[in-house]
Amino acid sequence: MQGLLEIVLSFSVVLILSLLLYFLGNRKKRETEDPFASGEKIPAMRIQYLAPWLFYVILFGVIDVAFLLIALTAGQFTPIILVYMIIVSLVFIILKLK
Amino acid sequence: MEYLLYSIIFSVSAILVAFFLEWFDRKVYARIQHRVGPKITGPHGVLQPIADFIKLLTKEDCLVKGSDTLLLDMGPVLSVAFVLFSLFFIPFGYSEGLLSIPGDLIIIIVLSSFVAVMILLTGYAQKSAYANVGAARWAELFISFEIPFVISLATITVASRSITISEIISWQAHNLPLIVIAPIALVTFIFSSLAKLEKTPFDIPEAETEIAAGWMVELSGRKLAFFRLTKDLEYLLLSALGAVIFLGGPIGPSLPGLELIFGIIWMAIKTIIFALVFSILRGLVARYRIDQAIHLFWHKVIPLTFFQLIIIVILGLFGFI
Repeated sequence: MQGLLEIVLSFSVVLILSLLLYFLGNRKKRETEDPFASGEKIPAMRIQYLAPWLFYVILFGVIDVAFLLIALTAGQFTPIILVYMIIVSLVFIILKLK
Repeated sequence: MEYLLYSIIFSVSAILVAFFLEWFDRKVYARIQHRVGPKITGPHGVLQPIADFIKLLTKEDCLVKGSDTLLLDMGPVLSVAFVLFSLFFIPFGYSEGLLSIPGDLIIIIVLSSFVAVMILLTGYAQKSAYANVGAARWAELFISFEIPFVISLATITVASRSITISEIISWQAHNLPLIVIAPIALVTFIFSSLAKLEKTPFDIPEAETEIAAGWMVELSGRKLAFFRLTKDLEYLLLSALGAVIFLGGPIGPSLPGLELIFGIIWMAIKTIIFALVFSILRGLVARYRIDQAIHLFWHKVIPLTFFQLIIIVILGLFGFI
C-alpha cells in the first residue's frame, strides 16, 4: 500500500510524459473554413442534438450511483444491496409499463 | 527517487506493450478476414503501430475554424494520462500493482469514465456535424455500456468482499477463480469492454460508412495520434483488468525463487487471452445500429448482470462463497 506522495508522483510522471510526447509532435496548425475530413461540401456547424433516450439517461444516474454504493459495501451482504435492487427493479417495471 | 524511476520505466513499457497489443489485434483481425495484416515495418510488422504513431505526430494539425482549441488540446493529453495512470493499479507480476491503495478498483472505474467524458467533450468541441453526431452517439452508448461494466465489477467486489485489486487476487488464490463463480459477469464485462473500446459491433460513434470517423473525424496529427494511443492503452487496461479480476492475474504454478518471472508470464498469457477474445469478437460480428445497441444493453445485458448479482448475493447469504 502506498501513500499520497506516490499517487501524486505517479500521476505527475504520466502527465509530464504525455505532455512531452504531445509537444514532440508537429505544432504547426492550420485552420480551415469547411470540415475537411469528410470530403463533402458542407458548412462548418454545430448541430443541436436531443438525446431520444432521455429516460435511459435518468436510469443511468440512478443505477450508476446505486451500484457504486453496492461496490463500496464490499460484499458485506447487507440488506442495502437488496433494497437497491428492489428500487432499480421497480424503476425498470415502471418504465416497462409506460 | 527509485519510485520515480520505476514510474517512468513502467509508463514507457506500458505504451510499448499497448503498441504491441494493437499489432496483435490488427493481425488477428486480418487473419479472420483472410488478409495478412501489417508485415513490412519490423519483424512480421510488429513495429507498424509505432511507425503510425510517429507519422501522425509529425503531420500538420488541421482544425475547422470555430472549434474549441483549448479543449481539443487538453482532451488527448488528459485521456492518455488517465489511462496510463489506471495501469499503475494493475498488478503485472506481483500481486500488487505499482500503486496499490484501498479501493483502487473504484479509482479505475472513475478514471475510465473520465476518458469517456474527454471523448465526449472532444466530439462537441469540433465545429463539425459528423463529430457532433459521433459525440452524441458516444454519449448514448456510454449510458448503456457503463452500467453493465460497473455492475459486473460490483459483482466481483461482492463475491470477493473487497474493492481492492490485490485483495481480489488473494481471494482467488485461496478460492476458485471468479470466472467460475461469476461467468455471466464475465460475459457482460466483455460486452461492455467492447463498447468501451469502440470495437465492432459497438463501433457506432466512429462508424466510417455512416459518419466518416464520428467524433474524431476532424482530428489529425498529434491529436489523432494521442487518441489512437488512448484506445491502445484502454485495450491493454481492459484486457489486463479482465485477466486480474476473472482469472486471478499473476496467480499460477511457479518455481520457488522465480515467483516474479512466473507471475509476469501468467499475467501476460491471461492478458493475451482477453485481448484475443476482444479481437475475435470484433472480427466475427457486424456493427449494431445505435438503437439496437441501446436495446441490447438495457434489455438484455443489464438484466443479465442483475441476475448474476442476485445469484452471488444469495450464495453469499447462505455461506457458499
